[in-house]
Amino acid sequence: MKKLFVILLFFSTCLSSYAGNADKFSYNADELQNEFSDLQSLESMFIGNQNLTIADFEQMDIDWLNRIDLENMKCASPVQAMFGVDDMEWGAFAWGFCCSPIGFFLVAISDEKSNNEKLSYWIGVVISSLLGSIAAIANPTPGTSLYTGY
Amino acid sequence: MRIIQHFKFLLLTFVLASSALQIYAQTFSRIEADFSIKEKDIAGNKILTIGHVYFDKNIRKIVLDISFPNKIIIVASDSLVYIIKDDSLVNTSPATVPIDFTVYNLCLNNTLEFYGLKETPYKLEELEKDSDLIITTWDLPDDETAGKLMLSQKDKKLTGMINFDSEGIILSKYFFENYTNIDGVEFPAKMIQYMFVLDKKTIKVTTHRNIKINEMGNNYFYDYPVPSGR
Repeated sequence: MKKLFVILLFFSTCLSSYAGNADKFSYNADELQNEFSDLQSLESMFIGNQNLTIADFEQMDIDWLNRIDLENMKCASPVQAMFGVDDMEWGAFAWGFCCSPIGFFLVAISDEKSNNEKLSYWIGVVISSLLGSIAAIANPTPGTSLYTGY
Repeated sequence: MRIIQHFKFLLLTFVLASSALQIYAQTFSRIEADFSIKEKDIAGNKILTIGHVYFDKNIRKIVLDISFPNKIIIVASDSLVYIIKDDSLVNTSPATVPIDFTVYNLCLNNTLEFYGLKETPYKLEELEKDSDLIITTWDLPDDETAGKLMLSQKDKKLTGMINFDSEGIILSKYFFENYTNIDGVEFPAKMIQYMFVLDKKTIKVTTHRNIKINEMGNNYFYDYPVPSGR
């Protein structure tokens, strides 16, 4: 009886940990659909007539179009759209990017640093971590870092 | 007579074998497609980017011909990203992802299934099976600073990737969907990316349409010349 209990406990532990990992690979499709429904309409309209410019869209009075911040989109460079680097506090970013453990004390927990700087630090950490993985992949010697240009 | 029959059989075998080898050796070097990126950035701004992408793995440049919201060309190489507007170079910044690990290169090399990790120092640490998902965990041995990577596959296709930091906290999630087979290349036409920064997240949905493989036209765009700086 004791053995059976141990076996059942073992399997239930295995199953619960296994279900947890599968659960990580899910997202809320409805939330995503709602989040981008206006942009989806904008995309469809542009694909239907590629001569339209953002200025043309600004002059249109359509309900869903009014909910999109076209002015911001116009100013956002594609670099920002793709890499999110335009409004970066570069100093804080570099701390996060190059040496996150030191940066943590200098930027992340310092009261003197602005929210922008702290955010930039964390973006640096995230990108650094992503690049760290990729650098390790690209470089056969684990632990060596990718030249970042800073 | 028998010798002739043997000869015919040998000849037929040779022809069949050489055709099979030719098919096997067929290489995919180019991909181009229309794309759109719908993004919600960390400040909550929503941005739409529409354009056409060109990539030739031998030239090692990703060229984005963007038509919305602004007409602009982006050329990404292994080390730098160039922004070109009206035939003038307006910005140069460091590249964030090496060409080898872009989805375009991985698909052309047929290594997207394991995100190219099999050819790296990463080691397979764990394998789990769901009813339709296979989940693998990858780790870099002897490097405590690197976080783990978790991949999910369905029908031998990569469906998800999770990037952890060294403490096991999720930094980003990627989902690869709507696989399309174009001339033998399996390409995920829809990619969803979540990035988690502090208590906020960014979302990016990239979709591809009109995907073409080994297109021999448009040489100019595949090797887009970067103008000299200002």
